[in-house]
Amino acid sequence: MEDSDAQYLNANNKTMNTTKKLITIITAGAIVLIIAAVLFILLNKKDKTTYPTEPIIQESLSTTTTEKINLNNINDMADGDYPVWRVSQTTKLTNVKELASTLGLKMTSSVDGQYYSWGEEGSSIFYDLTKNSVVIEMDEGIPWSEVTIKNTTFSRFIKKYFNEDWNYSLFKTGQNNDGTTTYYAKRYINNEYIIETENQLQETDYIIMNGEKMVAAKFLLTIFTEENITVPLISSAELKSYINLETYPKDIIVKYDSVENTVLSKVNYLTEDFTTIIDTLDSCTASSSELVYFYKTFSQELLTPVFKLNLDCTITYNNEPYYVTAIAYVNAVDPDYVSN
Amino acid sequence: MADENKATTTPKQETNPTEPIIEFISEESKKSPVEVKPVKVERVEDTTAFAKAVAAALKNPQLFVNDTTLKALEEAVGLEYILKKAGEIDPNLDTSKVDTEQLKEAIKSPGKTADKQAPKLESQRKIAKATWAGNGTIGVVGGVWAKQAGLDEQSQQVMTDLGQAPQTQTMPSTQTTNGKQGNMQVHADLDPRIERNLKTLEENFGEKTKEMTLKEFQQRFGGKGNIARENYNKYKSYMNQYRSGDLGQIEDLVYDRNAKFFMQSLEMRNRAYIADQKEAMRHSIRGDAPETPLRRTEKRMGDQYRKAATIIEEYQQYEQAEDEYQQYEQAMQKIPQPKGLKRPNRMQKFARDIGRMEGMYESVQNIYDGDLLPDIVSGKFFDSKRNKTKFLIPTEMSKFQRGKDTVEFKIAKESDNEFENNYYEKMTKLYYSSPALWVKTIMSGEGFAHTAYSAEKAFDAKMKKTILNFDIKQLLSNDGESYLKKIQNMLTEDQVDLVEDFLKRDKRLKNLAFQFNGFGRARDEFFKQYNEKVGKKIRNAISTLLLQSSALKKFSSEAISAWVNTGAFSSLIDGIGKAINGVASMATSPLGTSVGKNLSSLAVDLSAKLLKPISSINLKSVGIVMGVASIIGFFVMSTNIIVNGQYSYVVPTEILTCSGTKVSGSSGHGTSGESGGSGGSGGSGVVEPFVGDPLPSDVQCILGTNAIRCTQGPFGNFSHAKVPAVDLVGADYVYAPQFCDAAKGNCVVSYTPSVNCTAGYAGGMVILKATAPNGHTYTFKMIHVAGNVTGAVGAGVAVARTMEWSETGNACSSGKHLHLEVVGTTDPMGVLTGVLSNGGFGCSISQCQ
Repeated sequence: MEDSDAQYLNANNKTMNTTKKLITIITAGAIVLIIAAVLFILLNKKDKTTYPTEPIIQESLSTTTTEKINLNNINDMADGDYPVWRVSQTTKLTNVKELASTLGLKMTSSVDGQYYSWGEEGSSIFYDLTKNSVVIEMDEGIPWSEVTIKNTTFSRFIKKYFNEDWNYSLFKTGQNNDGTTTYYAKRYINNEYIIETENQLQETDYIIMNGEKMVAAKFLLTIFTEENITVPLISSAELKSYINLETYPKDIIVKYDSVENTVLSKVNYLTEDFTTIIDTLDSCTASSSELVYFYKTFSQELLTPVFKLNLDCTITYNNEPYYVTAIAYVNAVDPDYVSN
Repeated sequence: MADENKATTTPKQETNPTEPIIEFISEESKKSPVEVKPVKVERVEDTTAFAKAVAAALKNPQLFVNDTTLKALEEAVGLEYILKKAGEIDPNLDTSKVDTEQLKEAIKSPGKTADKQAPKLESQRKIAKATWAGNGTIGVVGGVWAKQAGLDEQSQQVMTDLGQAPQTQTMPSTQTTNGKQGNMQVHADLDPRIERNLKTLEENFGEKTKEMTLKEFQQRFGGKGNIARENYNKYKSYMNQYRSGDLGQIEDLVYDRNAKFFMQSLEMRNRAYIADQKEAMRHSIRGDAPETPLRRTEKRMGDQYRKAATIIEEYQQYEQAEDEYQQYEQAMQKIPQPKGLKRPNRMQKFARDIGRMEGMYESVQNIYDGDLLPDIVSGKFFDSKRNKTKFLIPTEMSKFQRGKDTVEFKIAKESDNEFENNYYEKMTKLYYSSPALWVKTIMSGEGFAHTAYSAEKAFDAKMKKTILNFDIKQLLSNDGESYLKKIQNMLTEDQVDLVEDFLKRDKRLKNLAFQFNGFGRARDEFFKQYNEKVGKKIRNAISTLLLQSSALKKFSSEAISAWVNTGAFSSLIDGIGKAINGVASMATSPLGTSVGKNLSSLAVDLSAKLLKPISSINLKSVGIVMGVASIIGFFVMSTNIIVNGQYSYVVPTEILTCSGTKVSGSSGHGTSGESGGSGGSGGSGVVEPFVGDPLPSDVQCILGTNAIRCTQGPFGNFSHAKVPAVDLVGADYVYAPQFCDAAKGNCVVSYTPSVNCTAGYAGGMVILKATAPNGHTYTFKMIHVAGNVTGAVGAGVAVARTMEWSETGNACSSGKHLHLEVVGTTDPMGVLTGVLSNGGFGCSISQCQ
């Protein structure tokens, strides 16, 4: 009996040992798997962080702006990594030609690689390759049956005449003196990021409607392709210390609307001292910031993220300061990854 | 390590006494020629070549220090890299001292064997180009190069010291750091160059500096094998010499130019090594992370210091080759086959001569206000009335006189500065080697007069060496024979032969000079007679035909009479332009107005072209009158055209067209123009016609080739009431003029994306400031445009695009148009449509409404 007990105990012990071993093996296996998973995730993440090996070139902003910008009121700025896009050199000349032909316009002048112009009495198409944008103006108008102009109007137009699936954000509507209405839009890139330009309201595109007819439109025709690189953004602390260096890439666009009835009633572009007044721009304080992509010309190779700052500034006329608003586009890429 | 600290810390900065001067010259060299502020140096106490070079460079900074000389200096080191890149040279080989033997080792592939002398010849040519005015300028050019390359102050001083030998002085006997007799301490009266040499010696070879091993030396100095060992031995030998404590030996070292170059090169390579180390340290910290701007700067500085070292080494070889050549030449004058002297490399001498000529030509081209080559060929460059860059004129008039007869000719100006003289003499030689001069000589005798003058100078100098009071004037006077008798006893047999040869030659040249000068005088007399008796009659006949047109009669009778009386062709063209404009403004029907306006400028062009054959018939008739076959007649015509003509450089088959004419201001209201302006305070309301200095012949209309209409002129009745501006329809783009050069920065664009009139948005504004070679700055202000670029622009760049009306909206305009002002003038149409010779851009634009 004792023997059988002993045998039973031995057998039991063996079973327990086997179970323990199994548990140990499973636990160790699980730990190895977890470590492997963590490593995989980390390594995979590292692989996805495709920073440029050479500094990217910032071509869309100038490096000679001397006006100072105060960022003290800005506490929250975008951070993290953002993609960079390549400006494709593909033009839409064939599509523009077809459009001109559809509208019955004849080519009136052109300089290859620079511009093409078509026209008839009261109607014209001007395709400017320095910015790769087309302006269509039709006295008779292009019939457009949509009752309300929306984001999708721009998408439909671009799909119909230029065969592109682009999305837009319609951000402003303006009533003109002649009864027409202008709709301003900005193109999205990758359905996520907004593109802005130096145009009047920073739009990329506009449509002017006269009732149900489209009498004018301007479309940016540049294709932006994925570059498969991302860049880290500059930290707000670093930006504060660099922004007022003359060579830090930035552009300031002043809006003179607020002085139309004061300064501009005496001084405007027709007068000699207008340029002098422009040079008095001072005391610019940023009130808000957002991250956009700034497109300047068709010759820029890359489309990079920039901070758009809404500014309150002053100009001086007859020793009196006048408040004006302005927009600054400022390089947002970590300086280690960008060169001028 | 020679000195651990050296490898890890920034080189110590010290005050560079020439720094402010170098900085001044550096800044001036970057400016456009018209902005340069020359400093007149009245007296130079320091008689060294460097001091004279500084004085010359202060007076004419851009003549001696400019893109050409700076680039040539840098390119002198470039070949090393090119050859390495091409794989023809062992990448590890130190090619900074390439010579024939090393090249034998270096050139790997026999099939690709380059000219073995090529690297050295190229380097000699480049250094000569950088220092074309004389070796003394190397310090100035080197100093400016170092400053612009971003080298530290001490290194800038090293580069400024290039080519400067210290004045021999007895040095104070003091103690070196090894406790032996030496000269470490700096004495107040010491030549600062000795002081710097001593300091460098102490830093490199003093007891506190650890002696480098061969490996450490190689790390800094580069190279391998025998070259490295040879340099290392040199290093050890200099170190031993300095550490010997023997004052004599140390003095020798201080004045040893080879030692100085070696130490300076070592210094530069040390700095390159430090920069490399820093960069490597950062690289090791950040691993393969993208290169940061700081690392790029360090890499760049490493390269710059290496370049500086190579420049020093190349210059050393250049100077050595020059010395060898001069020593040999001097020895050759005494004995035909000098022994013990190395035969100089004549190819290298040739390369240096070519380099100097190139350097001078390109330097002058940089600052000359005009087209240098055509102007040299035509002689305009040497003519004080036609060359506007006065300080560049290298010659002055002189008279060649024998008895009562005189011939005018040009001689090199004289200055108390050898570098200026060098320039004057070189350019004068160029003048007398010009084919145009020899064509001109057929009418003026000038070339023969100059040859006679040069022979006279050379002979005089030769004679004065042996006969102290030799007076060439007396020898060449009418009483020359008696003077010759007077000095006859003093002359050796050889000298008698010399005098005879000279007098024969002088007589021959004198005859040639005066005879050919006589042709010129005859030609002038002929023209005077011809103009009165024949030319006027022909012009009268043509004018009768022209005056049959009532419009021409009404508007251009004055111009035609002027032409009849003077033969001035331009006055006739101007008059016809006015006449056609008058026809256009008289027309009342819309069609008439439109046709008249659009065709007026075209018609002026056509008139000019149609009248050209008449003008040439006129000239041909001269030949007939003179007897067509007369060779002299041919030269009368051709020399005038070749030498003095406005298009003297144009190939005969080339056709030049000039369009447009200067129009006076007119007013009216536009069909497309400003609508929302409140007027301004731009001007007096009177259009003062624009007449400027000539523009280069390749300048084209800045508005492109489209047909352009002016819809509102300056001081018009509408929005331009007080503004000297034009509104143009049809001008889609504005282009930078052909004289713009982005590298020179003479044309700068600024862009304001959004400007307003009182009623609202007006589009963008572009301002283009373009400084022409004639020195005039044209400031074009354009409104309702989209900017394409900002900053410095090159020729032909589209700087602005006229916006479509839907882009600008109708707040400030009633249709698409370009609003254009030319700041500083009330006649923008004159600037745009004027002919190039009047500073205009030759655009074809209709008369303003």
